[in-house]
Amino acid sequence: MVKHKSIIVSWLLFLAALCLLYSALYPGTQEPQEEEESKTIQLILRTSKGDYWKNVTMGAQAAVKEFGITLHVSAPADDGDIDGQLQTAMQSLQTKPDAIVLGANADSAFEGFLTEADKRHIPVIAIDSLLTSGEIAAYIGTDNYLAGKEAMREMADRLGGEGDVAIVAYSKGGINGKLREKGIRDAVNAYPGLKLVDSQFCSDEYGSCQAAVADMLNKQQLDGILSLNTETSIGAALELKQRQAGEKIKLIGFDSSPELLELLQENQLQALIVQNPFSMGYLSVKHALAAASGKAVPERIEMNMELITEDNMFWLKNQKLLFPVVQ
Amino acid sequence: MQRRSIQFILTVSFTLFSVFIILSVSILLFSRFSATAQENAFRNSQQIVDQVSYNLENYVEVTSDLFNMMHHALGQSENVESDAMRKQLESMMSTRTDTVSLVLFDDKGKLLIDLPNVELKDTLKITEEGWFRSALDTAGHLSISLPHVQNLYKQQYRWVVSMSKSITVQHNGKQVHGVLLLDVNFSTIDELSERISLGQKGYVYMLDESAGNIVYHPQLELIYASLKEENVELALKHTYGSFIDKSGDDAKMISVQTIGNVGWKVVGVSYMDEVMTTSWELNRSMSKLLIALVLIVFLLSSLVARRISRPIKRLELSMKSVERGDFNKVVSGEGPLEIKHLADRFNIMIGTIKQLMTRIVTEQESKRKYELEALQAQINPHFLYNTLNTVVRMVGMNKNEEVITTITALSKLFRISIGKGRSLITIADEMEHARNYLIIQQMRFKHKFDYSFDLQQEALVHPTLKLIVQPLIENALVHGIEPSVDKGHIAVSARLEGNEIVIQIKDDGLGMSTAQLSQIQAGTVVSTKGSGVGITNVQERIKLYFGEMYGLHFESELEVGTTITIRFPALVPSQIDGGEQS
Repeated sequence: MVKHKSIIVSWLLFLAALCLLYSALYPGTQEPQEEEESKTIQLILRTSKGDYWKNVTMGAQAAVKEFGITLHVSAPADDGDIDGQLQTAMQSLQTKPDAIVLGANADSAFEGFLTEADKRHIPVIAIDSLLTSGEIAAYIGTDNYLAGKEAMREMADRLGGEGDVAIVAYSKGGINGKLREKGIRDAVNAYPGLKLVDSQFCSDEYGSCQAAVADMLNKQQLDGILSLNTETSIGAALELKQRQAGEKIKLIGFDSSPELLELLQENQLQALIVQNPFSMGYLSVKHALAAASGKAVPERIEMNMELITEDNMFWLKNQKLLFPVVQ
Repeated sequence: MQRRSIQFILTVSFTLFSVFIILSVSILLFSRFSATAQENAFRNSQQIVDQVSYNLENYVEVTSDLFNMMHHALGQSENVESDAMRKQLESMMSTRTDTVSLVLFDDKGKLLIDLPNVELKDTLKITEEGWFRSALDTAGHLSISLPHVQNLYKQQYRWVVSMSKSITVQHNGKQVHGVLLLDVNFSTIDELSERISLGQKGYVYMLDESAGNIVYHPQLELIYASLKEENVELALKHTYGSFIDKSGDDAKMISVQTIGNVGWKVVGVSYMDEVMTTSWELNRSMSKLLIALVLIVFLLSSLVARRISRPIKRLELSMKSVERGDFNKVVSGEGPLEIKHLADRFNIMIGTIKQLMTRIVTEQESKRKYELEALQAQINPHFLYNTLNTVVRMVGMNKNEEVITTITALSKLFRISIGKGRSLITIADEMEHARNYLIIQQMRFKHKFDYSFDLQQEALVHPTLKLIVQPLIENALVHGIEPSVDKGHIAVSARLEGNEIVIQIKDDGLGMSTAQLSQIQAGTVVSTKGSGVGITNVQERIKLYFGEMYGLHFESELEVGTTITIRFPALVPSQIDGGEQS
């Protein structure tokens, strides 16, 4: 019996040796099995419009090339389209991605989505806007509160610490806009000579923002205006240009676009607080990949923002940030 | 120390040896191969980088040529602002699709020529631009800028490389110093670098040699945001060649080539794990091969070892049966020559042992016989002493008649007892011997008993061991008759029962208890009285001569008497002479 067993074992060993020999001599036949399956990451943007999100996508694409993963990008056409984005997000869960990167249009509306993703063990990385309504693997974005404070500090510098300042905020600015405004409001206390005298909201068309700024200026004398995103900044700058009040009324804006840079060069506005969307996109995918592989991910990554003025906008360092696309 | 089997030693040592050989060969091969693979990877990457550099250099060369042509044409022109001049420049521009703009400023920064005719920025301060100043500072030298965002036209921010050179032109009949600027779209270079494939993850970046700035990088934003680092030092240190950079998380291979005419460096970065995939593949299949070979060697060597050790084991097995006492088994010498020799030697040895053993057995047997015969001889003096005492007593009492009877019986007794030295006699003689003994004893015990013989005629001719009946009669007298108060009777009978002789000695003396009987049967009783040739002696002799199944049988009852039955095979009468005297 024992002998019988040892003969079987010997034959098995011999067969194993033959298999190994075969696979060693013809490694090609097993290639597909050994190839590491690539992770799929779903990137859901706030909107398909705007340079900001284009750059986020570019950053994400850079990470895709570096880490060899599959990336699906989806975005509602309209910024602030909460229902559309939520629908897209829920649909993306069906495709079973390994991780989701989400720049959400709203916080509480995504509670159900986050619960569902958690149930399916799909890590969610929030970018740009923090999500507090559920479990997320990480948040990557600009410290908007600090950015607000920085804007106010710059304004105070330019005004010499004295004057009346107004805020033009974006009506669909979400939590980011609120944080920026909070940063500004908190920072203003540090300057006894500065006063926040007005605050206006406008929609995503700079025409309406221009009108809002015009209203403000008609109401009162202002020394400085802080505009909290691209559209409000363009609107404010154009209104100042029209009134030939550029430079006299200091304008500090957020984000960048070719028009804004043009206006910056014309000195219609004095400074722009610019985020680094490319890096945000890159980091989000990098960390999503880490989270999908079960590695530890820092809970909160805050990106630096750059203060761009007419003087430094063509610095080597800032050129690529402001003009990411080589045309 | 624990002993290892030959099979184990052979298998293990063969396997270990082969593993060592295979391992050293494969390590040698692998290191050779990976060195070659790395060399190839170096060459490959270097070639790609060289190609990029060459293309770029060529591109810059061609563009400089265009610039110089324009520069020359402008320098020769009598009026730079004439339509003819403009047309000429336009046609030159149109030969290339990647030219963005051509502008001519005088040394005050005033625009003289502008192609294409697009509105310049209002805020433009030409005299403060880098290209303007460097062209004026180094007169006659063509300076080529780093890729940068063009800051000339309204609403246009394009990535360009600027070529600028100081120029002297005729403008409105006057000689005017100025600067000629040609902006070339950077996208051509960008595409050139973007399309390069250095594995899946590898990429090409460009470095400004003088300042060490990264001019072009697919992830420039990340580098400026300090999210990524490029080991620029290594690339700056070398003008040409491929190197391995282990500073980062992943080992990378860096290939450097310098573009002479612009002072840039093209650096190719490939990831080692991608570059060396063939090497890792080889590594994998090598290790598989190794395991396979080890397995095969293990199997083969265990097979060989078993081949060698199996005959030895078989030999051991047959030796074991010899060990158990089976000397007739012949050990088989299958297998190699050595095993055959060993088996042959063993068989010869066993033969010798067998011979020696039979000799010892025969010697032992005859020794025993001699001993017994010596014992037989021992009876005589004891008995003789008793008998002679009786005779002396009878002489003293003048019983001549009885003396004669006794002496005659004694002489007959001795004649049979001596019996020519043979141990086998006829039953008739044995009975005669017993009768004479009884006559003498009757004399001694003064008719304390009488006796009778019942002898079958056919039985008398068969041989028997001598001196087997007399000791039993003596026993009956001493233990049965003598202690008894009554006059006893001893009956002796002999008959043939089939092939067996049955002799019975029956007395009506005291008899024995069952306990005594069983002791006698077991042969543990040693008589202190009598001639010394006891029942045990008789029993043993019969068994020794005729075999274990024969011997004495006792029947006894207290106060009734004892019957002893002797049973042994009826031998042919001639055996008396053949004897067992050898």
